[in-house]
Amino acid sequence: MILQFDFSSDVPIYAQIRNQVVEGIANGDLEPGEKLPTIRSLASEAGINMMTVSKAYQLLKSEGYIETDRRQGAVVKLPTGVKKLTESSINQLSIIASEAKIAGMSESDFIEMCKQVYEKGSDGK
Amino acid sequence: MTAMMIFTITAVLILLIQFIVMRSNAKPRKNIILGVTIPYTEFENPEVSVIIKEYKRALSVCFIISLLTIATFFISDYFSVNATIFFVWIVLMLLAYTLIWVKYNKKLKELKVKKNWGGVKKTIIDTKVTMEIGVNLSVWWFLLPFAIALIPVVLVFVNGRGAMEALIYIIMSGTVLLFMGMFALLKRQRAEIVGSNTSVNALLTKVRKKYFAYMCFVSAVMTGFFSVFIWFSIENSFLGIIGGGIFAALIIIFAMYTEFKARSEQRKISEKSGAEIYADEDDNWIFGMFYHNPQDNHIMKNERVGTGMTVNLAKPGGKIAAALSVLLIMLLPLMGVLIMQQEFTPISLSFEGDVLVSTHVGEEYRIKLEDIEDIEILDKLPMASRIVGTGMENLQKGLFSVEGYGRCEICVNSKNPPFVVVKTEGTTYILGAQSGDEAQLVYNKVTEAVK
Repeated sequence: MILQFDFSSDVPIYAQIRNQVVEGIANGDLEPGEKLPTIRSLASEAGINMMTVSKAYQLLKSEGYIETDRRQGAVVKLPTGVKKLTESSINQLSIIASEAKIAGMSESDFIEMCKQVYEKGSDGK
Repeated sequence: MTAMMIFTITAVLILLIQFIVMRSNAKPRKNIILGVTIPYTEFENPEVSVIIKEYKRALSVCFIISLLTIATFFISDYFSVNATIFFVWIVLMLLAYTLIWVKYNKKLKELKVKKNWGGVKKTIIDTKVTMEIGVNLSVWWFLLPFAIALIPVVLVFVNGRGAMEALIYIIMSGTVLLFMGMFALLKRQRAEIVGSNTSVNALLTKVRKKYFAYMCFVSAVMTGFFSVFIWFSIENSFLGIIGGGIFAALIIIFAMYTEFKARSEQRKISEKSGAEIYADEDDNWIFGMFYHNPQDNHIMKNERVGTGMTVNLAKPGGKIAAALSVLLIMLLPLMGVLIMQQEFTPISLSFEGDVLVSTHVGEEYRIKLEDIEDIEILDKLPMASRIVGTGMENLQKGLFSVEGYGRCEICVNSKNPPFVVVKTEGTTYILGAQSGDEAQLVYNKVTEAVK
């Protein structure tokens, strides 16, 4: 899977890593059981601090998207037992919905857009 | 004359290598032509072809002019003057080729901007292809050439051959370790990611590392054996020159072979790469040749094509390394000036207060009268082979192997006889003076004093 880092973006690098891994799992680009690069090699390849990668991996682990092992490194897993979005994700969705409303988008258009985005993520499965 | 032939051959070789490498950069590899990343679908674009054609023509003109100007190496009778011309020629030749590259790199970049051909300007990582891809060669194999290089080091101390000679073998052993260190850098070399195709990325990474490893190991082995060759040939200048020439030729040939083999394979592999996404790092490469990326923590970076590495000019370590490299090149003509100082400074020979003193730039021999076991005067310098030191037509200075006398410390202008031979317990000296009269005078004084 290709990870892209935009150093000019307002989104912190660790968040970019986290977001792209989550998208990758949703798209099927990353499959359960698949190994991610080690913290050292990802940091070295991207030319970023190991702490940044470590923070991203810690976040992914706490959210249940990966598990880490001293010997195996980081391995993708599908979160189990998660039936609903986290409060943080719902808050983000709320902000996006507010922005769409202010921009004049109708409810049906907004739902259609969400559907397209959701299906784009499901295509890989 | 021998020295000028060596300069000429060296100049022709440098010129040829420079020409071939720069011409090779006109072929697309990993979406890159002349240091500019463009979509692979535009490689045959007529406007791109025009720029490439003009670039190649400029290279050819520069090659011909550089070749013809080699004749200037022979304008003077003095080695140091011709050597200075040679060094200036190298600097100017490199500058000319650099300017050609910059001109056409800028032209192609302008075309790219005009056509809006930009790729993905972010840093791209392939999670399945990382630096952990290795090669089938352990670093411990380098201990073999290192052991070979150590043989003369041990022998020189066992035989008591002197510190200067020992230094040569220590440097050779150090060079083997340098190649070993370069191989160890392989682990830190990043993967070659050009697009979304993982198999292409993996193959490119393996190709780079494979040829880099070959180059390091074979160079280490050749250096080890050459060190042993020096041990056997050190007292035979002619053999040393031939051997040195062969060694240099082999290293260059093999380095060129690995570089162009890698480029050829990179070209084949990446021909159809990047159909959906391709990495565009042009913004981080000044004129397509100098890497400058403040966001990148690394000091070293893979060259864009081939097997080489370069420095990150955004880092202090990279700036220092680059500055030192430029300084070394720009100081080459200064070396010529230093050699002129050697060649044009007369040798001074005197006998004052029971001490025979021979002085020349950076060197002084002081021989006490009480240490002199024998003294003679020669009208002609016997056959002498340089071991360590300077061997120009107008100046021979240093440690030489002299027919009939063995190893001697020499400081003479062989065109200014006679020469005073002084034997002490440990060393034999052969000394000249600014003029024949001066040498004769000193000889007479010493002979009188010895009586």
